[in-house]
Amino acid sequence: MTREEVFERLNKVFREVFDDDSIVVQDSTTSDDIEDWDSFEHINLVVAVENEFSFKIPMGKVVTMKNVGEMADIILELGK
Amino acid sequence: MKRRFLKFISFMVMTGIIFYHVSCVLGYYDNIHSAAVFSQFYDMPSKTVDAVWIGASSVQEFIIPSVMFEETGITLYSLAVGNEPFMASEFLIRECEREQNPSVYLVDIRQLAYTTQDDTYVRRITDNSKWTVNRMKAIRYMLDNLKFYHPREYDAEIDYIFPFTKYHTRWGDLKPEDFGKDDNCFFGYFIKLNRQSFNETEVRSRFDAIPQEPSEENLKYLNDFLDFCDTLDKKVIFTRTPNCLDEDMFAQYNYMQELIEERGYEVWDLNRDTGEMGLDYTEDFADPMHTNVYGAQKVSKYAAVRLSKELGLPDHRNDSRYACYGTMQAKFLERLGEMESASTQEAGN
Amino acid sequence: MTVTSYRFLLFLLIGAAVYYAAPKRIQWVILLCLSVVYYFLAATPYTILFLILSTVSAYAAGMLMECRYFRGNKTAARWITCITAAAVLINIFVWFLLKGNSFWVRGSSLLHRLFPAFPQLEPLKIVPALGMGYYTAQVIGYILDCYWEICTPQRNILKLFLFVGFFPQLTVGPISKYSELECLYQGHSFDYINITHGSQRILWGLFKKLVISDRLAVIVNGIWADTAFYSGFWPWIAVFVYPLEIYTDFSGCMDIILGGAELFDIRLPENFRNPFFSRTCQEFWQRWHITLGKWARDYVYYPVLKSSLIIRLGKWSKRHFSKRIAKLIPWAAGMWILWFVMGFWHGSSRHIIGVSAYFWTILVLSEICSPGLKKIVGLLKVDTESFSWHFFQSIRTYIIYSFGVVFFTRERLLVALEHVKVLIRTFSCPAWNPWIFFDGSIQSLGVSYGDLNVILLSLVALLVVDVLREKYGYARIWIDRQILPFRWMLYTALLFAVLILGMYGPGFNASEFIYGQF
Repeated sequence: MTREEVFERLNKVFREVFDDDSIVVQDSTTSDDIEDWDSFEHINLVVAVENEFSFKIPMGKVVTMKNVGEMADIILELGK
Repeated sequence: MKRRFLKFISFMVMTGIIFYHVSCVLGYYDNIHSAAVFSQFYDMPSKTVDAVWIGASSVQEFIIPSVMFEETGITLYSLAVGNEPFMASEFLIRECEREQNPSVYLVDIRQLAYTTQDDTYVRRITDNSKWTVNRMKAIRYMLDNLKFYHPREYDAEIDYIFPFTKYHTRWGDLKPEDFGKDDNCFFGYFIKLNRQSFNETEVRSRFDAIPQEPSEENLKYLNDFLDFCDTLDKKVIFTRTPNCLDEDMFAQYNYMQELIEERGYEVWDLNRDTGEMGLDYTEDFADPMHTNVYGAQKVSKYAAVRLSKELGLPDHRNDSRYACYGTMQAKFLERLGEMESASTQEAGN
Repeated sequence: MTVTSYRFLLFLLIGAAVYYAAPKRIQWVILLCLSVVYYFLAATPYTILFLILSTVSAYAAGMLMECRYFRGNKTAARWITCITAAAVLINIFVWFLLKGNSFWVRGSSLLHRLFPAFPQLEPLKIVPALGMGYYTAQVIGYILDCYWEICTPQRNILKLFLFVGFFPQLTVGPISKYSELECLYQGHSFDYINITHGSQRILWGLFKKLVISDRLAVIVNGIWADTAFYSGFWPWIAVFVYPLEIYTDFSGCMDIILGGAELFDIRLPENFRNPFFSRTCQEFWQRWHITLGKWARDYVYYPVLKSSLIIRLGKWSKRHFSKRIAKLIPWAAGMWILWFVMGFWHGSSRHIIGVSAYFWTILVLSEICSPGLKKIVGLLKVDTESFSWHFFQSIRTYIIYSFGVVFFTRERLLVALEHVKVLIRTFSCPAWNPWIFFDGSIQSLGVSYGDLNVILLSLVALLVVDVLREKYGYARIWIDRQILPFRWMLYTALLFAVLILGMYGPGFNASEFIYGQF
């Protein structure tokens, strides 16, 4: 899995979770950039990402990830 | 760093000064001018008072210091407030020793036939006194006695030491007296005009009541005080101001007089001298316990003459340092005139 | 020793002096000693054993997790999960035993009625530890943080005890995360700014509590004490004044605590962020009692939503409902559990669970109606960024909160229901008495016109400060920019407002904090 592939699939997840087809995520995207992404939506997003990539993200990482770039890093690491 | 330290200190000093003035205003208040009794005492020029009369309303409503000054030129202060607990006498004498150093103390024993159950009476004294170690000791002593003889919920000791904690709520109903403007207190005395008539013969028949022991609490206070007087290097005279109380009260005072005389102290029973004073039992009393202003003037003049003759207290009438007494007498007479005309107008309506 | 007492302020002063006089290496030891001393002065001494028990359970769990024996294999992972669960359950159990009285006592009496052989339990006559709800939540947070490898377990049990029992947090929180309190163990130099800012914050907290909250309490308690006499519009006054009372009480206490900690250069997390400026109920709960909300979110909501049960529920909903409803169902289920836990933490009695149910319902309803409402707002061409719209939203949030919290501190649901009846009775004609707002009858509650003026002016001051906080983060950022005489005037005015107008001294009962009972 390459980083570009991860981001493509993440785009799909984000668009579905937030019901907005215009969303394009980058390394630096944070919750400030997307209106509905608050601390309660965050877990829905994580669960959707877990579903998409078929593995569990450890709770510790859920709380500490700061932006989409970190999320991608975690996915790539767990994917190995 | 130094600048910050200076800023801090100046802020603290500024706040302290403001707090001092605020706590002077938000202080004790009652309708018997207790605050003025003490503030006028502390304002007296140093070492001008030659005698101090301590007691409860049995002194406050009987003794007019400015009248005494006018009569014989003696400078006496009436450091007395209503229901003044007898146990406060030692504290008050110590205050006088520091502030004025008089040569004579007169101590009235009226309050020894009553009990001090209310801490308001203690507060009348401690809330109005200067912040000294003497005051702290007095608070401790009086509170301990109150708690021992009258177990009840009392305020915490810190609330006596800092009366501000109790009176800060008075911001909603301040009076001119709180700002130091009390025109109705004349070196302790305040004017009472009402009259109640008594049968002199009937009252006199109680004078020789068989001595009766007062309460254990009051005996303790009396004995404690007598022990203190033994250590004091000043003349202490105990007094009984004129009254029309019941026979059992006279009985208790007779007992106490005997006890005091046995300890070697003089007792002036002014009840027996009312004839010499010219006191009229039908005109000069306000109630069984107190004289009105007319009776008070007679008692004051008599006491002034007696103090002058028997104790040789100096005549200060021509000394400009004691002008405050003359000024106070003028104020007293003016106020008396105002109140008299107001009451005749009212009687006329 | 409540935080508004002279003793506490003196304790802070002396504590800070000792703290800065000590060498930096042992400053945390000083804090530990201060916390123990504070505990013995403020609470029943033997109850410190509960804190020690919590600390030991958390320490043991942390150390076992660290232990090499357990690292690196699958059975190890299961062992670690067991240890974590055990440590968490011990803490919950002890808390439940001492604080969940009404729940298990009522439960046992119910079971006893059904099965007479079942014993009817009496409430335990053991005094719970000070701030049990707060430190238990904090300890559970620490254990789970260690489990999720968010932080490394503390190797020094005394340092861990300091985290659990740090004295400013003992009465009403805030509930801190372990990572937020690393500064406890570091050395701190004396800084004039900390002392002044800390003292100013304490003063502000005292103002909120002693001048505003206790005055409002006289009104609210007076009305509820005699609803037969104070009927008609009176209970409505009590209902709408009460949230202000709790807010000034709780946030005032927080200011004292955070200011006190700031004296030691320790920054505790904020618990309030102008909750009454919230536009929605959802936002309200992110601004009110923030640390409890964060704790419940991180340690209850997140694990629940990640659990296989809820994920399965989500998948099932997707198959049977529209996209929007499918998203709502697991969210609502997670919220329900979150609110149940939060309610339970406040008290296990039925009426508090009722309060939780009320707020949960409001949140779900607002989420369901939100698209519809947005459409209406769009149709009406309302400028949602305007001040008036924001004002309307704030009032709406305030009213919703007022109703929810009416039952909050009433002991029994029946009494609470009685209050509802009283409120409803207002609409019947005999109870119609709008003149009470104009004829000065509020003075019968023991509140003079002077007091009402004080309340009004103080609320204006509170509003100004909160607006400054909203704008600058902290009002003092704006204040610090002003010239010295102005600042000094402000501080002096505040100080004397507290000294003169505060409801303290003989004649006032030492005001207990509403939130100190958890």
